[in-house]
Amino acid sequence: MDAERSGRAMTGTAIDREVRAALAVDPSPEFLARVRTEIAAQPPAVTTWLTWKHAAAAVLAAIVAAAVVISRPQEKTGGTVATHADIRLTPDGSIEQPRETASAGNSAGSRTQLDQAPEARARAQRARSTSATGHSTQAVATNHLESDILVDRREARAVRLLIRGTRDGSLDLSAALQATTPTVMNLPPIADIVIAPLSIDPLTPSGEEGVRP
Amino acid sequence: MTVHEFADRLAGVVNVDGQLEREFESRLVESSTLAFRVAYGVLRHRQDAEDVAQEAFVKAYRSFRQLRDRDRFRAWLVRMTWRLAIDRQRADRRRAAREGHAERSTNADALRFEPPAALEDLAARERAGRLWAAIDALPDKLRVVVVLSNLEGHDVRDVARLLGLPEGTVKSRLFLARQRLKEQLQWMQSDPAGR
Repeated sequence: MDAERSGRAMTGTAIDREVRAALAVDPSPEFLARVRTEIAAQPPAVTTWLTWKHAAAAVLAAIVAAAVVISRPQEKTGGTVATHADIRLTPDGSIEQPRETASAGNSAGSRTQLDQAPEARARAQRARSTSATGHSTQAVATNHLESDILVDRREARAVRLLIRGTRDGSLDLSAALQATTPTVMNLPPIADIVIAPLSIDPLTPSGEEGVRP
Repeated sequence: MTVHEFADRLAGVVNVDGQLEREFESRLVESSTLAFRVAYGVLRHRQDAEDVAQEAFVKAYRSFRQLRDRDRFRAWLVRMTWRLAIDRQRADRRRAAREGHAERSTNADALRFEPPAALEDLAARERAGRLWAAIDALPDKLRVVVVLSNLEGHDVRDVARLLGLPEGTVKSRLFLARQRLKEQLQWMQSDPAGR
């Protein structure tokens, strides 16, 4: 301090001493009381904890609800796929499908000609490839392929020709209609059959053994 | 969960909360002077320093679940108080500059220091004013080291722990800060009108 008083620069120790002395100030006696009052006015921590837990539960419930809502339309679309029993053969030789299935897989209408089976297959392939979500459309497409397999094209054509020929009279089925069930053949009784015993003549050796005759 | 189970859990939470309140009260009692002095080291105004320290304690209370450890609490409190005090000082200076009293405010900062009883004489008051003007001219990272190292008998290790810095960094910053203070004070003494 003598050095300072004489006007020269302060040393590091002198600086520290000055700073220490300058900071040796205590807060007012009311300071702690003021802080306690301010803190008492704050919301309790338990509320914050419960709010956090409730917010997490609410977010979880919202996610589950959103997942259910999003997945429901897919299930509904999948439910419109026709079963095998829904596809029936009409008298004019075409296959009739339920309207929902036809509208899902074929925009032309509810009836699909058997001759158009390759087109239906192609449509199913297209629907499968262009499907964004894929699940429901694939289910419909797969069902289309199954219906094509169930009624073979050649078989369907034969049935159609049969029906058409019968209608226009070019095919006479009277013989088939008059045909009777074949009767059982009259076979002789088993006891009357005589089987003669087999007789085998013994071989006679000729010449030396091992020598050809 | 039944109503009784929920009530039991709530009671447990409230008990834990009461324990936290008691822990915070003990931290408040043991750290209140430290927080006040940190703020005072920046602002050098008793009322402003108390306001800043109070704000820091409120923030600490809100985050006390993560600050239950004593050392962690003190370090967090010191850093938060320092930051709030610096923000308050800058805001005061900006407001003073807007009002066109920048020059008067600079001088007022130096004279704002409330000297303890031992420094009541004019020479001591002038010397303290110069010292604080020199400390204010330091960069923040040097300034905080000077203030903290002169609080509550902190050594280099304590300051390093409070600031979350390596001891070597604190040592070098303290050395650099003292050098600059000496130069600044020498310059001020040789040119008193330059203040």
